[in-house]
Amino acid sequence: MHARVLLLVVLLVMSFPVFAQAQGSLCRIDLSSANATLTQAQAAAAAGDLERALGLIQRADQALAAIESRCDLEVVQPDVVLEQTYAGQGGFSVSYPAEWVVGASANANSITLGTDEAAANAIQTAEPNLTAGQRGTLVVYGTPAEIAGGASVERTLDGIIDYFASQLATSFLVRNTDHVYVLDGRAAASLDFAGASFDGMMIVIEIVEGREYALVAGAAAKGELADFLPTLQAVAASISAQGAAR
Amino acid sequence: MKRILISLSLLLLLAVPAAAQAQACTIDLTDSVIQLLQAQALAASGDTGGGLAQIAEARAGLAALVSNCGAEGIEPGVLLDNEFGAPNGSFIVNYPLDWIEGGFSPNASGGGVFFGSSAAAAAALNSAVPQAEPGEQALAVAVATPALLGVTSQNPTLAEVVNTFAGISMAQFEVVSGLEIAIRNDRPIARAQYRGESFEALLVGVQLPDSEHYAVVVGISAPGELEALRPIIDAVALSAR
Repeated sequence: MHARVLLLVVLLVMSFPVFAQAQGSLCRIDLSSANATLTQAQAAAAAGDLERALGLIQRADQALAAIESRCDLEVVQPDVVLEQTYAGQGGFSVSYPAEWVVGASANANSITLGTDEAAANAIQTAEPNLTAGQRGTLVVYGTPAEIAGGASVERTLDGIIDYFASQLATSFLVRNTDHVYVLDGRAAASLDFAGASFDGMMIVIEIVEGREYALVAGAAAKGELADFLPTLQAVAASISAQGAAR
Repeated sequence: MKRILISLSLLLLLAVPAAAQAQACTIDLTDSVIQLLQAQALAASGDTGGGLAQIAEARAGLAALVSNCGAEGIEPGVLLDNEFGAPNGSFIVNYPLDWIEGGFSPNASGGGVFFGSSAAAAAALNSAVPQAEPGEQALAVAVATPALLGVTSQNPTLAEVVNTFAGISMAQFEVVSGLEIAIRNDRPIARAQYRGESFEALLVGVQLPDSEHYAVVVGISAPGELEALRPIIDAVALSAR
């Protein structure tokens, strides 16, 4: 049994770290963690602790299941026409519907948009109060730290969405935090959040893996998020580094 | 790649005697590791589909192994690789790897702490009516002396202490099963189950080893998902010291 454990260790040392990427950064086949866990399981079995060995096997299996699910993601292709485009000084552009307006607080790396000025500005308040038909959207572009207002955030899509999930959970009802998908060919993650007077969704989209991301937070009157979703996804998908074609 | 092929050959030679000794719950992971190495190599060469197919085969092998052991009555153990030490030094408790530690609130004789399978889950438990999302789990661990929990008798029983705590935390919700005493790892533990519209909960209480302190662990899951959390709640409660 010890020879078997040793052999697994040798195999792992000799194997090389490689990555296979598809669907943005989400489908990454890195089996080193699962293999290391299986080696621990073999060692536990060799030591006679079968329950721990099986627990470790289960953990490795969960890691493999997560890889599988990240390689078989929902693909969303927005088909909402966005007639207007805003080019921020911070090096990004975003498109939005013809009837929408830009809010008062547009700056280098962020902008608020909405069906009217009140909705565009409401998205930055502590509790957006939106009436039927109103939609407000906040767009922030930059590094993970810039998007998070200077906070230390893991430089991955998951790290960013997890950070905002915990932040939003202190004030709002947060749901569906593990929704990752491919939005117009790019990796995206989203969560739903809701307050007393609105339903909202946050989408984080990867522009340049590990470096540049965009956050799009949209809010609609209660019960109107589903109608708003296609537009919100189209706005998120339209974001690009200035000069880069979408 | 050559190095991998050489080691694969070596591995196959060694694997033969292990297969010959096959028993119902024999844990030999060489085949699975080989499949995963092949999956990694395929993925590296750009064949993502081939890599995923190998992963699926490896998972099937692992599932069969776990199933065989289950048939022998050997179930996967709960792994609590993380350790939390109360900042006031009153207790230590273990919790699952990859879970998030929530806030700690001290009390006069111990304190309480939240853990969650995600930060949102840990935060969701820290509310009057928890909202448990599908697939998410959270735990609250409270450690205190009986007196602090409102138990006034001199030598209270486990049931008395945990019942007092349960009465407070379960008051607003539907009781699924009242307090029961069971033995786990040769120690008595008290369990009660309750639920609300947006969650199911299991409360487990134990006395800390060689201590007058008690730990009460409340675990919540989305409705219909409590079974998977049960062994974790038990294990976390029994890890308190």
